[in-house]
Amino acid sequence: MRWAWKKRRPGPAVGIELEQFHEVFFEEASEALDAMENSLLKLGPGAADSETINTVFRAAHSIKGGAGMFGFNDIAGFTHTLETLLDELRAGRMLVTAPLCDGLLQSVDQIRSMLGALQKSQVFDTTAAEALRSGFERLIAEQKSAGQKKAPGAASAAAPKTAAAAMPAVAPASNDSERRCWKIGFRALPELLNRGNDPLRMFAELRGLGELTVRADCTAVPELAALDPACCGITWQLELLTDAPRSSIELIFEWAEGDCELVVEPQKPERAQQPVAIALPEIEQEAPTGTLSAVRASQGAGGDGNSIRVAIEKIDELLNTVGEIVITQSMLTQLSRRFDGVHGDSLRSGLAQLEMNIRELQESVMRVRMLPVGSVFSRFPRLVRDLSSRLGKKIRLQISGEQTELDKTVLEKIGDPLVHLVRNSVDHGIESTQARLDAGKQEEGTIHLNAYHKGGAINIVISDDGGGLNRQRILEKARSRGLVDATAVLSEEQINDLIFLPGFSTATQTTDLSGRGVGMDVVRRNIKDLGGNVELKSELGQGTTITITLPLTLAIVDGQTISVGTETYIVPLVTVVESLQLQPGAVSHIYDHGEVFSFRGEYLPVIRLHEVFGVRPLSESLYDGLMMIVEGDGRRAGLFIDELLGQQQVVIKSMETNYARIEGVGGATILGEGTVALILDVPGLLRMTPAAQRRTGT
Amino acid sequence: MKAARPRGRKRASLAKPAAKPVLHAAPVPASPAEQPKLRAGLKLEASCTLRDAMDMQFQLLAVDFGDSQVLLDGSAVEHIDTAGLQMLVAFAKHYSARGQRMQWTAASPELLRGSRLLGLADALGLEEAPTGASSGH
Repeated sequence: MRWAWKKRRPGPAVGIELEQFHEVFFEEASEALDAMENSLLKLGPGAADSETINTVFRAAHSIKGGAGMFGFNDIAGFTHTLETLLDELRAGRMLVTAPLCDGLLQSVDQIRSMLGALQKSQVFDTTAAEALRSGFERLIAEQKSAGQKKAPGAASAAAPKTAAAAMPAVAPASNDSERRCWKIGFRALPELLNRGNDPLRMFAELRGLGELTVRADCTAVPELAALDPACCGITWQLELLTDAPRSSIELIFEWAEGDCELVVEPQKPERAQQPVAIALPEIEQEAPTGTLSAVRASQGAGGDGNSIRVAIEKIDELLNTVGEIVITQSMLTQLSRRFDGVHGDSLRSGLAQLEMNIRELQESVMRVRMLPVGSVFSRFPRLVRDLSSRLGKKIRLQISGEQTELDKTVLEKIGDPLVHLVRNSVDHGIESTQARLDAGKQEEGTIHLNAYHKGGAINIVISDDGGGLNRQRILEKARSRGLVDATAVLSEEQINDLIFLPGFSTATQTTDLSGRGVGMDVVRRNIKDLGGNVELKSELGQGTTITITLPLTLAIVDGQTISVGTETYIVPLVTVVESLQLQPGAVSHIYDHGEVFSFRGEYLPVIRLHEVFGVRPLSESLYDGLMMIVEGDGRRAGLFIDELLGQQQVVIKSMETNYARIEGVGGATILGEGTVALILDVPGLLRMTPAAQRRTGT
Repeated sequence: MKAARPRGRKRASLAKPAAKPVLHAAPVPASPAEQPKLRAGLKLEASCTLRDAMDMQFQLLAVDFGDSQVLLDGSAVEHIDTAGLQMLVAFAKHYSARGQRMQWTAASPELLRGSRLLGLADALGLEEAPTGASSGH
């Protein structure tokens, strides 16, 4: 069955154009799905707690509510079935089993696909979703018929496979002793109706939870001529006699959060038992027991009532403007040096203050773009779970440092390389269970994902306790492919590096998980494009550790300003090791390696920057100018320059966007005096050394 | 749009607006007991939701019942939401301020369900309204 998704107009029960809120729904549904998936991963036979099930239920309910409201009936229908199933689990009438967990996770995938198709107005094949839905419906029906025959306590006996997976019992819905009367105060705020939230729909859902009594106060409804139809002036006092928990009641108002004032409080039992009639709408209302101002007052700190969603373009625009201010301020500072006397001092003092303020402003704006790396890490528990079960391996994923913050753009682009690396660890890194046992290791392998700040950068480390790189095999493969001379002697590090060469794969068996040609070279290139580095360390039989170093942001860089001839260049400070003046005779010329010099027991190639950029230097003698030792990709080299000018933070302007990609140049910036300076891409420059070019065969 | 005023014993015959009306006047049969009093009727459209609210408000304001008794026919209402019901509450207030009370000749199940669920049935005088199935049900 194939349906063409169409963004339908909302049903007639909804009064306004809701298309403008679709994106918000997609975003929130996506977040709800993430929450659902994370909770489902915690759920498993023997590890099922009611709070986790409640979280999954809430997420499903939230998606259902939104989908229903926007007229996305297929999603609403699917999540409705899912919700019914979760309700059975929540009430302890069904037990959590491994196949059920798999089914629930699949349902997350299905909803995600449906949303994706809907978002892109694409055709979506609902066969899998329908099959899953039928399966759930069958389970629910089976449970219901079993429940009619057996006592609740005998449920586990009906499903022997699930006997070990008994969930903590939740009071069954039919237990009258749990029935409580809730007093609910509800007042609409001006935007409620405009956002597609209709109290009528909410109250209908409330009535589904139990006996509902509604009192409306219409005193605030203005005269017909003065009425704003979208502004609801009616306030309500509701009484709900139900066995549902407070969370179920609040869930109904979830979509109206921020657009209504809601108070939910339990009433004394004796009051609850009193028969209540529908009250006259315009009678004087009794004073509420609590203020109505606390929107979802019972919600914990996790509520985001104090946050707003802002389009990333707006933040980028702001950041760009701040960048321009930094440049202008820098120009003014330079100009101020021409002023003498008291006025000049005052001007410079004022500009120094301005610089400080701008720096703070810039940092504040940068912080807005920073997101915890956990948002990327969160996809890996599912990935590792699915892959390991397919490969029949036992793998535990440890995640730490997920609160470490990274620029949103960096974060978005690091996702795919990380997925590749984690897949590699699962597929090639961790050995099969038998191989691990034979090697005297624990049956269960461990992959550790970690993130932390180091200097002005972020390190993301993926380590496993698997078999490690088989360097012998790597070398053989590289030789057989002609990537390395048969006689060449390579260090361990250099052999490790070979796996980053294009098209290199040692996998003896190509699986659908890895070894499909999108190799480590793409991973490294992507990370380099972000101004980052990859380092790999591996011990045969012990495991592999891959460290990715990323800049905190792509927008600014701490740079060392240098000069070559009349040109000024910026070298990112993180790549600078030190600068020195070479003693005469320190440089040798080695065949195939070009000019090298000894630096702390290591021979480093010389990169004459004036040759790279075709400028005339003050002196061509390597002993007259300065040698700046730079590092990138785990390699070092000496940059031959004329002078060091100073250090400053510069705003990066993309070369690619404004001109074209140039090897060895990471971007450009505008200096204080208004001239343009190129920002060097040190790893790119290192790739230009004769030795590096020989290694890569270019 | 200016609606025609009812004259003498003649039943109100309010002009239909040129645009698609959400509400229009319809002759409502009067019971013999009420014959001496002037009566004007309105028939609500099938959809009385926020989307229709602006039109609905315009039409309600445009219609002038004068001193006639206000009779509403809600038998055709298939879709109604909080905004639509609130509009009717405001309409009821508008006439109760003049000492008039709205009366229903018929109300669809959807109209009754919505008004009861929001606790507005009494304010709208719908508890006494005779039920009339909407065409959509």
